[in-house]
Amino acid sequence: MSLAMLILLSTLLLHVGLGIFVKVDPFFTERVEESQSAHGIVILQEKLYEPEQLAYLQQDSRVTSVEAEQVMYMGQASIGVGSQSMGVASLFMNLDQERDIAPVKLLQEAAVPAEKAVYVPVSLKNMGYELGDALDLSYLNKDFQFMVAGYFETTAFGTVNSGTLKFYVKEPAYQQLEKSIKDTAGSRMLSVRMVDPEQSSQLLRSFKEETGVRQSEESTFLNTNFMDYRSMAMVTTMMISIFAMLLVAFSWIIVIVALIVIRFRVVNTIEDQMVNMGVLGALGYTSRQIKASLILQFMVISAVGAGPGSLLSYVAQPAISDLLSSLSGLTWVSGFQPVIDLVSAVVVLLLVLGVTFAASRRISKLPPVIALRGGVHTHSFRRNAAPLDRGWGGLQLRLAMKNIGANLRQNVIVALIMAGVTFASVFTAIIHYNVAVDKGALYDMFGSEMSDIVISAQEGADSASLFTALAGKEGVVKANLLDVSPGFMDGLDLAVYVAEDFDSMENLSVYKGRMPLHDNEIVLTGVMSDNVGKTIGETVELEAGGNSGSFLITGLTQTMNNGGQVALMTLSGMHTLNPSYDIRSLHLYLDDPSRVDDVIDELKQDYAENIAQIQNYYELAEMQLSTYSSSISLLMTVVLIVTSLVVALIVYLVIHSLILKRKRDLGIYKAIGYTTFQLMVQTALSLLPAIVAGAVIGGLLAAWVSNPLLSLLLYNVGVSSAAFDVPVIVVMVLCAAVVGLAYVISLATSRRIRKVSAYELIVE
Amino acid sequence: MVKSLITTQKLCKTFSKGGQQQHVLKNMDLDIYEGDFTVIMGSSGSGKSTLLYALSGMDKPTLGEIRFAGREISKLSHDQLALFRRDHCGFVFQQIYLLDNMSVLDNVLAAGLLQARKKKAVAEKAKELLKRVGLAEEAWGKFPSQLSGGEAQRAGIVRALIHEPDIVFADEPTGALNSASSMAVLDILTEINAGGQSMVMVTHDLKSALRGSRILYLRDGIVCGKLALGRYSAAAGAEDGLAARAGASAGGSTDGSTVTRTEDGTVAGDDSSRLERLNRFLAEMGW
Repeated sequence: MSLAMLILLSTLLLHVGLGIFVKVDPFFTERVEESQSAHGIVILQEKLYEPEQLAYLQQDSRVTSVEAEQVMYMGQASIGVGSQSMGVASLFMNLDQERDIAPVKLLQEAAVPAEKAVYVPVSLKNMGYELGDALDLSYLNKDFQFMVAGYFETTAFGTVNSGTLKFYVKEPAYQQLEKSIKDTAGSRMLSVRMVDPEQSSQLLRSFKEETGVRQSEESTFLNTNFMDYRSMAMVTTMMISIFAMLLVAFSWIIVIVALIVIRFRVVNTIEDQMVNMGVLGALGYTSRQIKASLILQFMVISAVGAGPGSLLSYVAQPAISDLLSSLSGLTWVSGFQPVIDLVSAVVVLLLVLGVTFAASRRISKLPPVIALRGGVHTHSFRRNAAPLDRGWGGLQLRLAMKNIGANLRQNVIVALIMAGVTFASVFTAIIHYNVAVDKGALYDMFGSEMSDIVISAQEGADSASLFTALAGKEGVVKANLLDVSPGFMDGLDLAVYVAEDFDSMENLSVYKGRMPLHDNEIVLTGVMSDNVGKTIGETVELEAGGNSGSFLITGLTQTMNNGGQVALMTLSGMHTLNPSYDIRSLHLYLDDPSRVDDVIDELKQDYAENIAQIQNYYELAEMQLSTYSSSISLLMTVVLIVTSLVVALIVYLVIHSLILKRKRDLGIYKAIGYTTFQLMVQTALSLLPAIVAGAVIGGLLAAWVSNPLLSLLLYNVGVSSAAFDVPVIVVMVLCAAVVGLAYVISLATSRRIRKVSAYELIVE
Repeated sequence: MVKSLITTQKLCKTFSKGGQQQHVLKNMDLDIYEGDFTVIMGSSGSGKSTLLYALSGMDKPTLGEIRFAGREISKLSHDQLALFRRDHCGFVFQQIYLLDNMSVLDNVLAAGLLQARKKKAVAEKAKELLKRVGLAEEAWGKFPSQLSGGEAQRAGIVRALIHEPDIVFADEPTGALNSASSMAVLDILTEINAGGQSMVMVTHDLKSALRGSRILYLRDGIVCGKLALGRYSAAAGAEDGLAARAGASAGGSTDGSTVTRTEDGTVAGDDSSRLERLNRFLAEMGW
């Protein structure tokens, strides 16, 4: 029963994990094709747009269709989220416009006046936007009020991850927007569909090279956008991929655990049934027949677990689909997956077959006469472990130590299993701790400077005097000038963080080398360093502000922004390329962060004319993280529950078979006066070192390899040197919990010893 | 004055098998005396081992009462019985039942240290006893699988004695041994009894029974005959190679059996008459 449960769990997890893993890429592709969405998108400010640019794309043989559409693109917009506003580039499109590429597909709609109606990506539903809710848009000191009239699905700009959110409004509202902000936000969106979507990044690259269009300084960094197919897929499916990867990895741990248990059970069964096998052998059964019956026995148990495991995965599907939909902003339909059903069940059954076959080989080497005698009893020259006449520890402990010595192989297996499940628990707990409890390290990895308030100066305002005034305000302990500017390096667009003094930053840091100090220095992300093939001590060519220059790489940093394509340089450095460059963002740090909302209100009141945007960074970050943290919490819950189940099952199986194996010994102990409780403690104690060793090894390993492993997992989003906090107390508590749970279960299972009677020695 | 160590009143033991009741011990009133070497004999299925394990607290009676030194043990829980056995009883089994995963010395200490905490003293005592039963020092560190049957049973006897029990129960202690080993084991048991150790042994072997000072014969769950033989003496010798002589018993017969005792408690009769009387007794019992 317990073995079937273990097989059920492994098949269930493997099925769910593989199902997601295998489906991630096709899921996105299917969604793109189904909705006839773009494979590549270029958004240019209307004043930069020239018909030749459209012609360039049209004449490319890789392109099947191109569509140009007028849109409102606001790089520096903010939308109201809860009581806060979130700075996110906003793309407003006309719902009533006919289009062949990515026609709108509404999922839900409510009756809202046309001039107020806004249709939002379905991912905003998870952020709390209900139908009929107000959605406030603020752009360059202009405010617009909308009401959520419906949700739509989109493969591009559908989640906050992509840095841009797409909205649809009806003709009257669009006209209104156009009238109000056409000068600054009026843009042209070129949507491209291609023969091979994977070619889109090359297409956009050659587009930039041929047309000279950059995410350029002629506009502002935030008013031009390029999005290729890979980037769209990545921002949409990144979290799903990580979730699936963790799930598959964990399911493999469970599969391995199940296989170890099966091997253990086969060997025990051979021991227990040896005389019967001898009888069968004596009667003329071949060893192959005897082996086949044993293999069949385990295959049937495994099939009993694997079948319901596959079926149960379908029961779990609605919950999983909801979670994946919320992570991707696209409706995830799991559907019937017969191939995955078959693969996960067949893989598990084949592995069971292999392990059972290997473990039962011993039967072939067992002549009936030996089996009838209960096996070969050769003289043993092993050492008498933990002698009772000397050494430390009480009698129970010494006897337990003897049992450890006698079951060394089994203890090694138990330790390995415990290490595996503890590793999985600690690893997910570390992620959960950093994503949901103490986000400091995560913020550092975001590569965003997490000050209390970020202020963007109004276009045309005297930013220098504004910032001086703000920095001197009461309650402000520190102020940092930091802005983001577009750049171009080795054929790649990148975001250049420009600051006066990087050393005074709280979160921006290098994991190798040092921050740029001089005007000829630059820091690259690890991802960018790999992309350009240059590292610390080498020089790179950076193009910005219409000029290019050579810069010495002084350090490596990491960020999850802009897919990790980021560089850091000083203001003086940027001035060598663009002498008129001006930092227009100021980060303020308060002595009492709890007053942040009051301070924001005061600043809005006092400096309304000069401030384009003011944001409470932490609250926004928390909000953006909430989707991730809830899925990580779910994953951790699953892992912890499964870990508890595995620990319980393993301990139960081991103790159960130990009692069977030691029935005679336990009877002898009882005969000479040992109480049931003493024998329970002795049995539980004999397993404890393996459990403790496993938990410690698993815990230490997880603490040690979590960051390197996360660096691998998160490399695609820009993290090349993960530095998650490894909370020692959490690791210790989890290890202690695994040990405690295992000990309690081993004691509880050992209660079966009370049924073992000394009297059975005589009647047997 | 003869002192009763174990007393049973209306002792019954019934087993149920397939809905059928099998009454193995029936209303048995019995006394086991201190210092006696009581031998329980009987045909197969007569209830010998069942009686032995009921008397020793290894199993609980279905009905009736068992008192050990005046304390009723028949109502004790299994764990209380374990503590009782630890304090008062020693066991020697036919199958020996040494623990496979520990040395001979540790097998003895596993029982000895249960009561006494002073490791060193118990170890010394164990070694002394092992020497006394003729187990050479090189055997102490061996595992049970490395010993001969006779050696293993000697270790089993030491394990039964290490905690100085009030009584030793032996269930066919020579049943799995060859002739020479059987003799050696019986000599040890006899010698121990000569030192005043109370002992109850189940056997169907005449040579083994001859070592007893008192024979109880069971048939169909009832003690149908008792014989007081007096203590066996190895020094006297006997025709079958067994040294036999009537020795001083710790007490006289109080159960009305056919034993004749002198005033000082010694049993009348020589070794040959001892064998003769046992044979006659067994013949009367239909053995």
